Amino acid sequence: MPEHPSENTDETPRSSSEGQTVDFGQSGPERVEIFSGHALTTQEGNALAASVRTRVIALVGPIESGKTTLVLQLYEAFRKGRVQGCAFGGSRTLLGFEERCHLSRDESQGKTDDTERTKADAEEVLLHLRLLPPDAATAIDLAFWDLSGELFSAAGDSNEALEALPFLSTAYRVVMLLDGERLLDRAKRFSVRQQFFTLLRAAVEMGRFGLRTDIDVVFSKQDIVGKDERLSEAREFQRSIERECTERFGASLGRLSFHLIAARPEPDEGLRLLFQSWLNEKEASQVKPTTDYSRVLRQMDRFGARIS
Amino acid sequence: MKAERNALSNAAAMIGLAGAGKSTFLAALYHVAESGQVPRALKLARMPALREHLERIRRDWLELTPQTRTTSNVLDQNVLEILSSSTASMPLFFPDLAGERLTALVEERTCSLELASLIRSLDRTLLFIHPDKVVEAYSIKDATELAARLQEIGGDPSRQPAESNGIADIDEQHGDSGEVEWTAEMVSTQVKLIELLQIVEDLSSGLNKIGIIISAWDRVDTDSLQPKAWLARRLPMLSQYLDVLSLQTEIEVFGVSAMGGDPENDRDRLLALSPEDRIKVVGAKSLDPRDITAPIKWLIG
Repeated sequence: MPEHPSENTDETPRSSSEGQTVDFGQSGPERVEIFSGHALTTQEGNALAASVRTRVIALVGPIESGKTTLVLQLYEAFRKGRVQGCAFGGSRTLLGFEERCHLSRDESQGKTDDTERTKADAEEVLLHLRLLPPDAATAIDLAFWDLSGELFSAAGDSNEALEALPFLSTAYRVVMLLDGERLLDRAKRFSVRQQFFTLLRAAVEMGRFGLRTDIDVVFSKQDIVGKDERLSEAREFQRSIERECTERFGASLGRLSFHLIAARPEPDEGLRLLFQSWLNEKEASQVKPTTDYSRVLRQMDRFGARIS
Repeated sequence: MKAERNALSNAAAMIGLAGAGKSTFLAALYHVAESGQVPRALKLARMPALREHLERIRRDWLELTPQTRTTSNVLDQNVLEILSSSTASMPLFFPDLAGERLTALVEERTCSLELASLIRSLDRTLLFIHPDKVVEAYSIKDATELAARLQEIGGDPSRQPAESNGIADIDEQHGDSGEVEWTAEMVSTQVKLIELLQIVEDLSSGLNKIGIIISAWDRVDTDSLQPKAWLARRLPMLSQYLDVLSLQTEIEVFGVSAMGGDPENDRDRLLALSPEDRIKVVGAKSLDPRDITAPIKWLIG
């Protein structure tokens, strides 16, 4: 870029005593607070949902399974252009996105793309995007609930911890991630599967998941899996998880779907299609009668009736 | 002055980050409206009672002298009483909000009660963007690829994007890990502008019209590229945001060259022209490209 802009862009601050001016600066003791721009707390998320109908996308999975990377890479894609024809329409958490993207940015002076891990004690847990699907007349608000890996493990270990998690019953979509890279490893793949099924079974038994729960089972990091010589073995293992999941839980849940995605280096077709599905309205046939409906209503009361 | 401002409805303001070209635009606007040298342009009904600031920036503009920056702790009160063919004289309050103050609004998330009160009164605004001041945020992958491309074409690969994104002294910001810690100052121009518009939208009770002024249009002017297309190419996320906002708010994009060229390198050619002939406005419905009042006509129309 040339150094000398042709429109003068000013060099010397002017004295405030000159001309027709009035002090609008920092001298007054009273200040007006502006929304922080950082990720939202559960309470702030509920306040947002009270003002605009918001779809919560709950991202659930163990440490480093790619939950945060998934949502950040979608945000990064919007910085460059529309995604699946969908336009970015604003966010209450722009600074939250920017801060989380920092480690993958050149300005961090890091050496490789990285994502800061979501801390277990983080109170700011929701990232917000307002989006306009192609040909739509109104925008859709998505709030991504990024459950830390530690809380995921705790919820697998105890009903009390599972019960304490907000949003699980009321989320528009629950996205359960299995780390594709770990599924390549014969020593680790069975424990990955066990963790996934443990949480799923406990949540169904406790009524946190039911016929109104739509779940996307996501096998992440396919950019790594696709280049590995153990690819066919990993694919077979992944298919066995899909079969088992459908057989054991298909009748107990709403929509159950399976996705292979790569968030890096750019969101691949799998992630883009998954994202697109979050913008679709639930079909009437998907909203089945549920035996735990009163419980769902209680939860909705607890976490804000407009969160869907 | 304050009483006069408070009596106005439909207040409009010029907003933008520091160095976006707001003062230069105001200087040329004041000159054209006062001199009456451009047919069909809006005209001043009478000279502003207080005009020291307006006259000073006008002189700077006429002489191609760099505008002094609107100071960070003052807000100029510019009331232009406009005559147009369709209306009787109409006072137009045109506060030139200091860019630094608006930048601080985004980065520090507080503002004075008086600034908040002024923003609350707005229902339309002109947002200024200077093409040379657009700061990008590059991913490590993008930066690596860019450095490789630069090396291929004989450029200087050591000039990494981080060097050009406005971070003055990154050494002071290194954390224990050797990585630079994040600050809101690092946020790219398009994200800052989206956030600025969101804050203004939030504090006011919604804007009816937003005019986007790409200043120094001579820097990017090509026959094939209209200002809206330039915006979509250079600031794609802001462009999407405005597209969605246009469902409820009227939005128009203008390219404005108030100087007509580079005041240093193109000085002799520019000084040979009459001041109003240096002006070029693109994207407006006006037939005369010298009519710098065209964005105002649209804004108050």
